[in-house]
Amino acid sequence: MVVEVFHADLVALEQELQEKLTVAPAFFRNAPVLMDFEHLEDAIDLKWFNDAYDMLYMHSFIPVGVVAPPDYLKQAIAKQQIAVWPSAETARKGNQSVSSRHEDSVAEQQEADTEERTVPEDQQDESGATATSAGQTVCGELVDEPQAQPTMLVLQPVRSGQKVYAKGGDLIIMAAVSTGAEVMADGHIHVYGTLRGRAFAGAQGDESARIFCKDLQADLISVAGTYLINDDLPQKFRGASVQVYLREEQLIINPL
Amino acid sequence: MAKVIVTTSGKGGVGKTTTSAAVATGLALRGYKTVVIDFDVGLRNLDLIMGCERRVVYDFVNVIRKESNLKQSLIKDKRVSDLYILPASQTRDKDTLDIDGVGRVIEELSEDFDYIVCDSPAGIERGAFMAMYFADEAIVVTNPEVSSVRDSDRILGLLASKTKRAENGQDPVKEHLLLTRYDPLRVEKGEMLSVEDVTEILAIPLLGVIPESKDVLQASNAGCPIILENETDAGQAYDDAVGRLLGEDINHRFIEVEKKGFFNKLRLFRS
Ligand SMILES: Nc1ncnc2c1ncn2[C@@H]1O[C@H](COP(=O)(O)OP(=O)(O)OP(=O)(O)O)[C@@H](O)[C@H]1O
Ligand SMILES: [Mg+2]
Repeated sequence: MVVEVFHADLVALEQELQEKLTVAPAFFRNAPVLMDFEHLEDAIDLKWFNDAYDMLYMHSFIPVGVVAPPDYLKQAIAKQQIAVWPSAETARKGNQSVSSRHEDSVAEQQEADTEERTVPEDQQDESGATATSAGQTVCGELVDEPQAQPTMLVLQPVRSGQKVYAKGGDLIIMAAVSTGAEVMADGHIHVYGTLRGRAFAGAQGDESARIFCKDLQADLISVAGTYLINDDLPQKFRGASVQVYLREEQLIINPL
Repeated sequence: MAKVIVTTSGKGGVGKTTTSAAVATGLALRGYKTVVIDFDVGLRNLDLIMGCERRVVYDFVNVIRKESNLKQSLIKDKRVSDLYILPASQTRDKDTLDIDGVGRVIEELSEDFDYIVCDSPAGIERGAFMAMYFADEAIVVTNPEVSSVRDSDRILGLLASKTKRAENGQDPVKEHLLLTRYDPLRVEKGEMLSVEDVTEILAIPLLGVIPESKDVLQASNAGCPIILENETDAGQAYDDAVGRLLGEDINHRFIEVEKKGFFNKLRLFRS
């Protein structure tokens, strides 16, 4: 869902949301939303932005990123590890193209699997240079140094409201990731518990990054900026042990 | 040195104060010198549930501000020896609590008591933070519904990061799940989450399941902690929970729908 922001009056914005909410509270609960600033003419600052973001959270929306924020805010927003898309079209692209992928035949998936083996795992060097538009849209500047970073190991559950970010490397989580929690890595993400929250692999654009999890129930999964929300997760992969990776700008989910 | 236990939940109205009163009373009944502190400044109601609202002279905020000493401010329970209440102030807001002041009071109480039970306000703001900061153990009170479970999850995250133990790199706060207002019949109908659902999501040890019961409201209206009503289900469930808190191994009760009437008789007849 996209919330188009036409004015900077937070109180009015909240009221408009509230009206929507009273119409169909169940439908909007935990709905992922993008804030679209394409049509906003009023000036806003970072505080305004953060307040708006919190307001969405408070009303049980799950903000997944912003579209076309004012240039002077882009950097600051990205610094907060929030996804920034140049226009609503690019933001939706991953989402839509993926849904057509749901019906991938088993044969095709196996083909993808074998194909995958020939691809070198560590493409950080290349991906840094060749990141596509989808890659560049996510979180901050691209890192040039390709050297290996230590893997981050998390033994405790990642709870609602917590964020874990493995900058420059992989992330291994030995417990569950709750709804409302966020895990990010510039490399791969492994979750050896139930993944209920949001997982961003390849957070700086590495398209070879993958997500592995024991039990997929995620609010959102994203690789290098291409994402899928819970509603779009194919039924057959819910609760399953899967890996998620990017191929031709589409997210592929394979059983493990 | 006293053990500090916080009763917390995130979500409001789930039964924190009911639990604080019951657990503190249960600990005192077993011979531990216990004080229960009301951190819900501005919304005093622990003293109502404990039945001592008429005896409040000085409160927690007075002690923090050194306007009174502990001796003047602690209210001794009339029914259970070894049980004391430190009431909240109704006339101030939560911002009057400061971490140094709270720490000083808890330290002073520690010298004299075995257990300090901190009744947290709802929310994840200052008051809740103050209540949990010095905790050694936490009773996370949860109702079998999605929003409550999510808030508890959030609180568990704060317990793991925003407490004194976490900040000092000590052993983590010991977490206990207390599932309250549990109605097996509604669980069976799929209207509420089950014990398994909740423990699966929160992944912390289950301290107890307190059934939904009219006795609870009745007891709190009468100013009597439910645990003293030992013929009620809820009272017994709290007593079990206190036992488990002290390390006893007690089977969980009140989780299944009570079988009664025709089928029950039939089964009896057959065997
Ligand atoms: N097991 C139970 N069965 C039925 N009612 C209960 C039960 N436990 C608590 N209640 C009722 O729920 C209401 C809220 O309880 P309580 O005041 O203990 O919650 P709280 O979490 O302390 O609330 P607050 O967040 O406002 O401090 C009261 O009316 C109480 O009687
Ligand atoms: Mg209360």
